[in-house]
Amino acid sequence: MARYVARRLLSGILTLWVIASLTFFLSRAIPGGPFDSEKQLPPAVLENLNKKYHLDWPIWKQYLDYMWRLIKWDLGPSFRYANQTVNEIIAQGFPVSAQLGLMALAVAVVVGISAGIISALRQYRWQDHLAMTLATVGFSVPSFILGSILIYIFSYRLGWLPASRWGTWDRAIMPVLALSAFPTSFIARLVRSSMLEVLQQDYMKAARAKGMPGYILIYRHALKNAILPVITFLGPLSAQILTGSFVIETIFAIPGMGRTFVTSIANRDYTLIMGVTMFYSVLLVAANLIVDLLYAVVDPRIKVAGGGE
Amino acid sequence: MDLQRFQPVPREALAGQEIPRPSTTYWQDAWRRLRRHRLAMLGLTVIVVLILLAIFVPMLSPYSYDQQNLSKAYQPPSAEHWFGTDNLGRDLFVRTMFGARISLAVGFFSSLMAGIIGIIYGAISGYFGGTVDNIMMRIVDVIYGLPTTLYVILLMVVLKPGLKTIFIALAITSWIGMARIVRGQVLSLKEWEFVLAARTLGVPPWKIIWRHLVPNALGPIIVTMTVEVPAAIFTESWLSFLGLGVSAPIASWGSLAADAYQNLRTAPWTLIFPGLFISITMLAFQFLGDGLRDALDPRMRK
Amino acid sequence: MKMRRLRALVASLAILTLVAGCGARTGDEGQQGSTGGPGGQQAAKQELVVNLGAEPPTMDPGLMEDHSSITVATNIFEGLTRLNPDGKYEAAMAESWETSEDGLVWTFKLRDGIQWSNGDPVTAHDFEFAWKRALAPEFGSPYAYQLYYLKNGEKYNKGEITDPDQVGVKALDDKTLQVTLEAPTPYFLSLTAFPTYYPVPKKVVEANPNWAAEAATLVGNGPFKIVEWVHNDKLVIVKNENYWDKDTVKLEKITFLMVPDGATNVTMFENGEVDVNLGAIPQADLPRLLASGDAKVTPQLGTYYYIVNTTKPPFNDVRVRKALSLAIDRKAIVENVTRAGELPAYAFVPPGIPDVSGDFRQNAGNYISEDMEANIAEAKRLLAEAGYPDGKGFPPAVILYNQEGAHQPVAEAIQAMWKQNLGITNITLQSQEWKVFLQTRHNLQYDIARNGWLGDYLDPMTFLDMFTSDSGQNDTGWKSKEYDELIATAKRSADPQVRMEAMHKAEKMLFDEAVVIPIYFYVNKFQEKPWVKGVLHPPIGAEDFKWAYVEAH
Repeated sequence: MARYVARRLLSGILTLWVIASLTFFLSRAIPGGPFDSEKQLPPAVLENLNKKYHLDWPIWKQYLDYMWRLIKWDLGPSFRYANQTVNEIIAQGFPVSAQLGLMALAVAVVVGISAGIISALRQYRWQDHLAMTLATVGFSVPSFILGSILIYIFSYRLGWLPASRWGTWDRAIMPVLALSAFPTSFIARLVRSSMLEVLQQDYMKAARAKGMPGYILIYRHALKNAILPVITFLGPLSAQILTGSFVIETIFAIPGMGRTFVTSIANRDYTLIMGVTMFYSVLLVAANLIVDLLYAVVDPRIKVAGGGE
Repeated sequence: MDLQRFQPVPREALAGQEIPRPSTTYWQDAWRRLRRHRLAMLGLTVIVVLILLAIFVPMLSPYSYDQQNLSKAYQPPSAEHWFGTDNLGRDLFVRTMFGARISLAVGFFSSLMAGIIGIIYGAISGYFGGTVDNIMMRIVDVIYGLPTTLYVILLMVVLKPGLKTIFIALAITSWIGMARIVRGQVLSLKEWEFVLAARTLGVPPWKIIWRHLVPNALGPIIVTMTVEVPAAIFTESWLSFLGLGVSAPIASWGSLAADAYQNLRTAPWTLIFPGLFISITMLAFQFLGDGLRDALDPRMRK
Repeated sequence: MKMRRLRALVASLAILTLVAGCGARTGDEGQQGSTGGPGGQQAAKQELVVNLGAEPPTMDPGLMEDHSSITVATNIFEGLTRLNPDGKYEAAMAESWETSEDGLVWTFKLRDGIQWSNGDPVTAHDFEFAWKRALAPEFGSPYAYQLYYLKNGEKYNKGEITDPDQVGVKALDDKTLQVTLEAPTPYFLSLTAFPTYYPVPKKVVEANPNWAAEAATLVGNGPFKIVEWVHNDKLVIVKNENYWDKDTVKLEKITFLMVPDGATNVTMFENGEVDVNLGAIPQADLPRLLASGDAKVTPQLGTYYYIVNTTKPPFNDVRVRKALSLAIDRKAIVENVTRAGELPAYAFVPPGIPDVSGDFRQNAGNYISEDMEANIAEAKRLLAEAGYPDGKGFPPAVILYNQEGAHQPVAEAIQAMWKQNLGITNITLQSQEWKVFLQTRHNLQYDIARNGWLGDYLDPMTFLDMFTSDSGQNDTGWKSKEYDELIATAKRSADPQVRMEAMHKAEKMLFDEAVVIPIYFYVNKFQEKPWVKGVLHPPIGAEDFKWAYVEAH
């Protein structure tokens, strides 16, 4: 096991290096630079700015310089937010996004799994239809529409909740709902469908015939097997959701780092693009490693570490 | 286990051992069961109706998708304009039906892509495991990690905007979630006795994957494929927004909804109708998906 | 005198275009009322919540270039002059100034008792330090070129000279600032109210180069001072007791929020979570909010226009360009598409800029007729002459725009107008990601593109020198020696008569050659509660709360 983890860590670092390199060159390959705007800067001013941020260096030198700094996790200054470093911007935004994300993940896991179980056990009865129709709405209505509808109903029409910003529990309700709608629905569907499969298995039928109580059966056998695809899905999802959602943070004016992702690209803020991408990728690689380790816990038969054929 | 101690059975010897069930093939059987699945048939009917509407409404309507009447902007639904009008006084019924062409195509395509590439990739990675798995999954991680906007912008520069470009962009990203799910399922399923048995019998890997592993992972596969439909519909609108997709005044459901999401206070119908059609399509796909799963799942085969 | 005319014109234009009872008029009256300061009407609690719409990227006056930064800076800093509610650049940090005969040397005398928010005196040295710092090549100020008016300013910034003391700004003593210009610049006074010309506290900045990053270290000299800055969430400023004119300042506290989404903004405004919304307002909501008085507009010194690639057939034919321009129904666009009370633009330089006497725009009149029927007839004739009768044989062309903002509906409307009025059927639309769009347009890889320009200072030059042959802003491909000469003449001369004549000629040339297709003149759109009075929404620059107060309600 230790050898497996070590090997995965090594390949994880390799993955991060590939992502960093590709992002570095891609961001510079696309048209437009950080200082382009409707008002064109005079060439001299542009030159000064390029010099200030070492954009006048040959690209390989910029790349090596950046990689060296990346190893030290010194992500450099932001071009757009002239007084801030990328490390500072992440340090400010991430706690907020993570807080929101953890709440949404909790809702998604708890509600999604419960709804999935109920649906499976009551297949084609009203509980199932209700849960699955809600789930359909949950993933066919994207978060920007859902968020707007929530604001329209609960802030604009009813005036019950503040429309935006962050910090108090009443401000968290709508963004958490909007952010968790998709994963909740997806998890509910996954659990339902895997549960149905498991419930069809002979050993389940046998256990039921032997008179094993329902909830033990569900927990010990059905759920353990049904949870596998949920864990798979939760890997990349948690990395995404913890680093914030552009849409939710924009609509609800939440000072997280989700907005940074999209605006940094729009601004061609190279260091910020790199910084948030690498931060997210580290989480992603870690989350996927945890997922693989969890596989073995949930289903002892799985041997991810196995040497192959 | 020492594999040396086992001898592969000659193929001829297997001939007599196949379970004799010549009357129906797997697929015939599945189709028969699908037809009996009422909700699935309802879903299928809705999808067919939507396709017909998308084809014929724009041909038969007195309005065209791009015909403006600036003095009639933001009219609520009426006998004249069933779904009301938009910001330039265009008929939203025709625009919504025209939009169905793009959105349905994009949804189908992306779901299919996720299905084909994702299943093959995920199954190979999971089945062979070890180093193969490690490399293949790290490639998936790289695709996950790269900011999509970056290579979409690059695509935009390299290719001409249009539906074809949208398909390429969708094909790049749509399958990675599916690949991970299938790989996870296969990792688990391949340790089951029946797979072991098949392997010992010398059944080639692709056959094990296709005949034993994939059918047993159908549940999560179909859920993932259905979710891919709305995801693709909205990704298309975002790609069009970046300049990759179909150009205005042609609109898709995604771009109709995206343009209207701020209109709830003043012109809610501009959001409600495209949104409603996306949800109806989704429900239909889901019913069909449930039916397909029931029909294809070997364990439910009686 | 000039300014009063401008104000009258601005107000009358606003009336022309707005639903009566809302818009600029109300705003203007509010401003007037506030200068009188009728104390009895004021609410006990003088606090406002203002939505900026975006996080200010920086609070360092030398580095800022965007609207949200400049809005905050206008209220926590002050330059030599300040734009007042009457539209005049009045004495601010400076008490008085003199200009030399040739208009090249300006001597500013600073006020007594002016202080930074930390209690240090503001001196002429702070100005000299700030301007040279912004020009220093290694400092990398994006707006350094706003200081190119100073003698040797451009050379120093370009690195052609390395000695900052050769730059035309010098503190003769603590109270006297002598400025030497490259060329006579009649509008120089309006520049001294611009953030790049603000002073910075020399002592503070030298001790901590990153002084402007956080509220704790930021020191200003304006009517308000910053007390809290939670990035991407809020920025709080309170009345600055060290401000020289603190008796005029009535507001005790302003909380700036940074809510980007239009629908959220409107909801927060209606729920009373914000008093003033300077952020986005959804396009669909605008007419309703304008009619109810919940949204207001004031004129903005800017033009929304289209350009065509004059290097590419068929757009290299002036008749084609003219026909395309004439066939656009500008009135229909502002009334039915943009719908925020913008003025249809029948010329390029917006109204509100003083001429030798009167208003530059009014004196020149329209360059495109307002009579649509005549325009269409003329356009058809020109198009036929160019070889495309009724649009037949017109090659396929693309209108390029960026998706942000309301560019798409305008493009769709124009596409339909060309189809209907000229019979040109194969024009398609293409949206592009913002920076890709900028590059495509700049590299002349387009056919027709949208464009927009906001004036930097109160002079026609800010709209005209961008079309010279060597201008980085000229994305039309059109180059004219004659035009360059006219602009050069205007820039060289100190004689207002000569300058204005040259600029009128230049603008006329833009239309004789149909280089630009103006669509409308911009407006400031915002929401303001009825009890908020005296907020300045000027045509150039940013919102100023110095004279604002909350009326008892």
